[in-house]
Amino acid sequence: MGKPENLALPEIGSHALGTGKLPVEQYVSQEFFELEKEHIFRKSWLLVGRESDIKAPGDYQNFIVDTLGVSVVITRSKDQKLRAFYNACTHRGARLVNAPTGNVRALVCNFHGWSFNLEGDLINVPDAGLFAELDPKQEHLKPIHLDVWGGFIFINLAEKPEWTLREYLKPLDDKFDRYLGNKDWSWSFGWRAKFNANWKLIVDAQIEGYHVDMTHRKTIAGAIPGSNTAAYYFPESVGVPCGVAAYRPEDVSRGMQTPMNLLSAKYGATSIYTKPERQFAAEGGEGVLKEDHPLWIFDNYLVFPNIVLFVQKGQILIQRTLPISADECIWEVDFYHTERPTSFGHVFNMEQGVIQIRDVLSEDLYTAEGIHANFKCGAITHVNLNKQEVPLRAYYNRLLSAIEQSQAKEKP
Amino acid sequence: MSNATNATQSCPETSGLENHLAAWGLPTTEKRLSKRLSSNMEEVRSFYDAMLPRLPEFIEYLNQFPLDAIPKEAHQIAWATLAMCEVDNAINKWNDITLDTGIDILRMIPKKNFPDRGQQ
Repeated sequence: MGKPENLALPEIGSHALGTGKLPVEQYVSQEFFELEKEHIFRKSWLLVGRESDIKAPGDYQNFIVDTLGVSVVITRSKDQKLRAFYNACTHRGARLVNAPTGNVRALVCNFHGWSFNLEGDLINVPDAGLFAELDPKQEHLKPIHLDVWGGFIFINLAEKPEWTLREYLKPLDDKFDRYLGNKDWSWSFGWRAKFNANWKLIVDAQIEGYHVDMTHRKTIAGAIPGSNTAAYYFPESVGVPCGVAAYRPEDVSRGMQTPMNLLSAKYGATSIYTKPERQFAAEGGEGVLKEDHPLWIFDNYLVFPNIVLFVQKGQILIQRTLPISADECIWEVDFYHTERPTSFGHVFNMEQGVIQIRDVLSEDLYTAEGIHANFKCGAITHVNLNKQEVPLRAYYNRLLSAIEQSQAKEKP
Repeated sequence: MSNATNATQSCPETSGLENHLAAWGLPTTEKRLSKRLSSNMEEVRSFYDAMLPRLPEFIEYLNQFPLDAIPKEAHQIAWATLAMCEVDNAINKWNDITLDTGIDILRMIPKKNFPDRGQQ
């Protein structure tokens, strides 16, 4: 425990982005959804994978943006470089790969056998003499912009992205790049689920702390009091509009610490809702982890448009939501840790952590479909937001400004 | 490197727990979740009450082995110990088999890795 003055928590939120109600058309309007497809999903940097999952030459990942019908194949070639292409044979347009991941010597089209190397060059055409005019150099796979930050692969479908990835992610700086890119992180567990709700409603549920006491009353209420979650926003940022920092209660006896929680806390730090007796090891968290505050647990950052990135000591948690249509989406969550369990005690600790977070997430995801239906049928036309919910204003503002800026660029 | 040779404790005595270990000593989180969902509160509570006082001893015993060297005869104890994590909330927070303020837990499909999106 730090000195009392160190326990002061940051301001819970802000009215600086306004106090009025917000409309809800952007969740249910088909017209607005078409704008999002064109100006958000085709223009933003999208987190699609982890560099360490495409490690060896020939490894590939197939990433699909359902609502755009876009399939992206990301390859690692012999020169160790990662590249992204449309998963589309330049002969007659067939998909080159169908599995989500794999390893190949070349990308060979199943239709007629055109082959491309991992750099995207056309290297073999069966019976090439049958073509009257064929310049293989012109038949390169269509490239997609790709960059890596914090060990994560991002793509950008724009012909010419408006910002570099690093510009896009400010204020998350090189310190975050180093911390999150540490090679010690490895994937531990995750889930996915489909929802009949607009994709943004799933994101909304994760970027404010006002919901914690009520939504999580049957799981973690008290362990992270709503009043100990501080909202902030970054009006100058292109790709990180807002975030939330979560702190443990000053009174550590708050929240229900079951005998199971207390026992598991002896063997590891997986559950973020129990003060662990052991800490994760984590390298290079200076300037990222707010460890100067004795109660700090994690920060979560909205990486526009669809990622909520939770950063804590020794644990990263990524929630991704992608639309299928205006009314349906796929949500995924993935956990990374710097330590693999080597003893049963750690496995036990992790099992407790996994199940606790699973049940907490099931609560976070509980409201989106009902909200969507209420917006869609017109029962609700506007919503009320308080100062602690300022991240939702920041998100909304960024959504509108991103569309406006993109539209303005396209005007002759 | 193995420290199995240093293991001094013998397999814990489990008489009286046999039925619980057989019922709950299931090898995966998914199977243990299914077991909870198909049980009633009386069964869950009886398992929890019987296991809880023994857990520290079980964990300490299992903890002395490298993970891949836990003796086969102790696997059921290990899995039943992990099943206690699955029933914790039902017993201590909900007094019910399921959480009625969350989505159906079976809608959350466990992923195998980061790129895993199931059938595409």
